[in-house]
Amino acid sequence: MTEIKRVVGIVFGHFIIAFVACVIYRFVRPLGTDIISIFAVIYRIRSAVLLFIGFIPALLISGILIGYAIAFGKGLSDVAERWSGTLMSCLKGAFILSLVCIMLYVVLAEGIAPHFETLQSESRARTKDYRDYLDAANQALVDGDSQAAERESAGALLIWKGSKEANEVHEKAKYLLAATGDKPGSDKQKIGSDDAMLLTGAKGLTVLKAIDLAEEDLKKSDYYSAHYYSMLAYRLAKDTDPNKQNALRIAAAAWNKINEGFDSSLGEDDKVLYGAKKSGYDAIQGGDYLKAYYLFLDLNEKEKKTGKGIVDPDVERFLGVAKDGVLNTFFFIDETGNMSRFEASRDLFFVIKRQDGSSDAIFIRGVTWAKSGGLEMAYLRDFEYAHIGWDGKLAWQIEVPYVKMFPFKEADGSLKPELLLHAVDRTNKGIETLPTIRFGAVPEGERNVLVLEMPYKDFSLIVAANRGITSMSLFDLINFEKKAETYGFSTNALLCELINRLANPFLMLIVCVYALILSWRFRLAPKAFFKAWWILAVPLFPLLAFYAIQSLQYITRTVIVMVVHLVPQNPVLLVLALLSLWFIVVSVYFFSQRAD
Amino acid sequence: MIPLVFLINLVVWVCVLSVFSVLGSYIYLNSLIDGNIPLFLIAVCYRSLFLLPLCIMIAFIFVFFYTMRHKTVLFISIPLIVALAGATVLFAMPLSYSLLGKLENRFSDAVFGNTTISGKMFDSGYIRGDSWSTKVSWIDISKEDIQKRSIILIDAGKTTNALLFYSNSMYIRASRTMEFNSTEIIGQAGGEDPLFTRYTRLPAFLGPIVSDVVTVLNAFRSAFESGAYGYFWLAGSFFIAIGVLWIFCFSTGWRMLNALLVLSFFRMLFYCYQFTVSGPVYESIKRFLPSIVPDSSVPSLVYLAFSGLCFLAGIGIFMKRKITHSGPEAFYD
Repeated sequence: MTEIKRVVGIVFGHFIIAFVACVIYRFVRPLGTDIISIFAVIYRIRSAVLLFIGFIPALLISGILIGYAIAFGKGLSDVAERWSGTLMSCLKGAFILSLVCIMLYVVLAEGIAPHFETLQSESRARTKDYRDYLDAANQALVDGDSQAAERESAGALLIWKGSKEANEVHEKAKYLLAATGDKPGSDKQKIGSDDAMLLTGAKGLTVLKAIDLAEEDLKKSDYYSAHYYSMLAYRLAKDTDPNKQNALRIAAAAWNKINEGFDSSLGEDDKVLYGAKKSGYDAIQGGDYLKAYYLFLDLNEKEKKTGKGIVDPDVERFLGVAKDGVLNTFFFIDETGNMSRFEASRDLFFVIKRQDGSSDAIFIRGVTWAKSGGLEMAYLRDFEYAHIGWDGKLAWQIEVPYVKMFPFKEADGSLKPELLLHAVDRTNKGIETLPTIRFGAVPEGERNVLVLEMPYKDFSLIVAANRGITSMSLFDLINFEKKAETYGFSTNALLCELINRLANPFLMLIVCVYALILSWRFRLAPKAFFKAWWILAVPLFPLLAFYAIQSLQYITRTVIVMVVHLVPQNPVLLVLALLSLWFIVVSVYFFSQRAD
Repeated sequence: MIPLVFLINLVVWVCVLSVFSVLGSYIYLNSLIDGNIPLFLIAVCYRSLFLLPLCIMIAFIFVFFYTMRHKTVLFISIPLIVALAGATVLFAMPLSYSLLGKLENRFSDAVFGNTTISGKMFDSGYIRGDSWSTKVSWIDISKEDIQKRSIILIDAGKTTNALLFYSNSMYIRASRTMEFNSTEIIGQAGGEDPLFTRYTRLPAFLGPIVSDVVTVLNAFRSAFESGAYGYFWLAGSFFIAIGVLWIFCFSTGWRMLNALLVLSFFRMLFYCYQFTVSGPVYESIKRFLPSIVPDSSVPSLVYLAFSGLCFLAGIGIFMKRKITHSGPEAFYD
């Protein structure tokens, strides 16, 4: 037991010394990449941790070699025979120690390391963004564009609040703004403005509930609402539903009352208001929510401008309904104002191979995830899309500055990415961003909204795969392996990575048993004392262990590539079975040793 | 037991090193995947012959390790090891060189990697990065094995119009590039597939080791082709230096450390060779040597000097230990 404690001490002593050495090394050496000083310390710490994680296998092997070589020399050399219980108990202890260390390594390598890698790349991206913002702000100052200078320097300050350089530029921009009397450019930018939230509207209503609401509104003389809900009930009801006719009857009654109201409007102003409300309402019924939105927005603005504080509830309500409808097909330009600062992923490229032989190619420069009203969505910057027909010819191609993506529920319940391609201004009619058609004719149904032929959940897997399959989590690799080919990723490459990751702990365990064999064979001579100068040679152990394990991993990787290509049916099981067999053989070999 | 240990280790290391060195080469790995077994086997045979001197040295190192752990009669084991070393340098290695020459003449394309596989276009349907720029990625979406390829290329470095479609691209086997209207659009569209490079690429630390070993092995072969005298002089001195490493097996009371020292010095012997054939060290040594000594003898003299020093130091330490201890304990301190 004392010997095991000593080995544990030696192994963890290796870990502590190596970790300290890694931290010192990373703090002494240049960063090797451009990182702004606000991220520098944490970047160095994460680099040190990543470096340390890479050395853990070699440190473990070295610890076992040294620890057990001393332990075997001190306690076991005179008594051990082939298949001896002493060796068995020793192997048991070494297994437990190895397993604990390997588990620690797996947690660090599969959990912490990919997370840290992502954070490191984010730090690099944020640094680049900061520099870009600052350059743009300086250029804007030179050009005399105070709004742009203020906006860009605010962007830089959002990344690094305490930056002296950014603060100076920002102050200059503000001074220029004050001189010109312009509004600050950053005021225009809000992330996912609250107004962009989806309105509940009439979502989730049943036919009966809608009829109830319509009847209630009819009694309250709220004829627009009565007509709206009754028409909603009419559309929701199936042809065989007796309520369909009932809904139509209420709608007709309400419509008659609306017309009566228009006819009996006393003044000219009332007639204009009534007419505007009616045409807005007609637009809603006709499905032209955008027209209705601007009409009701205009009415609403006019009411507010009167300063009387009187607000027509019909206008308020139908503005909401129209907005609800608009946001099903369009999104507001101001939602994307500063989205690029929060991008989780950049330069995404994938294809969707459809069953009919055609395919879609998609390139997205930046992805920003957002949540609104509990609904997951994403903004896709510089979205480029090409549809290639089954004959291999380009059918059509578009480019959009920003796209808003939602999960869209199909009739079968599956979720697909729905892309809103058309952005409109929140207040001004006619200001909009539309897809630029680069080639061919875009089908009518896909000019504003595009539904990608893929499950929505696959999108995040594609994002992960685009970062590099080596940084994908084990869980993502398992999920993506079967469908990778559909999106233009190699299943074989994913399988190689997956098997390599799964094989690594096995390989470490095997090398640990080899280390035990070597420790036994080359143990400290009986009655020999550990001499102080031998400490000088101790750094050689982790170095040689590193070489050994790296060489073994290299050989295993080449074998994995070969197996994946030659036995594509089930290479994972085959490789793991071979490794298990190897492990059993070396373990038996270890037991079969005896004292010389 | 010593000849048996030597032979077993020789066979094991020849098999392991030749097979895995061939698997680590993309052309041969791909030939195996494509079912071209003869090409793979020719490459394995060639590598096993080329690496034979290294495998002989490693087998000797393992014989040394064996003597460290097992009681042997020195008067028998030492002459046996010397005889084995002599036989390999005198017969096995010259034989391997003549066989290497024959293989090179008969299967020059196979052994030098000038096969059709080396220029094969990548499999279509997969996104790959390009050697030109980290910002460029592309995919060949052609469905049939036709000459005119449909390529989708992304140039993320462009601020707009990053997605490009080329419907009639041509793969140029000689340069392994993809062209559209005689303009190169992809720098590497064939040869070593970047999708698997990460798995087949030699680890960084192995590069210098392989390079040093290849330099020494090529030097042996060049010396053999230049004449028997030069070959025996160079290979003999190097093998004597390897033989002297046996002394390190008994340098301390900790066998593990001894083994480590043997391996470290083994590596150093290969590393130091480059300094004995050129550079300031070589020039300094030459200045001390009389002009009658040919320049090509410098490496041999350096290795012989190293062997002599180690041998004398070993004898001295052993004598000192023999005075204080008796019996086998004199081997360890």
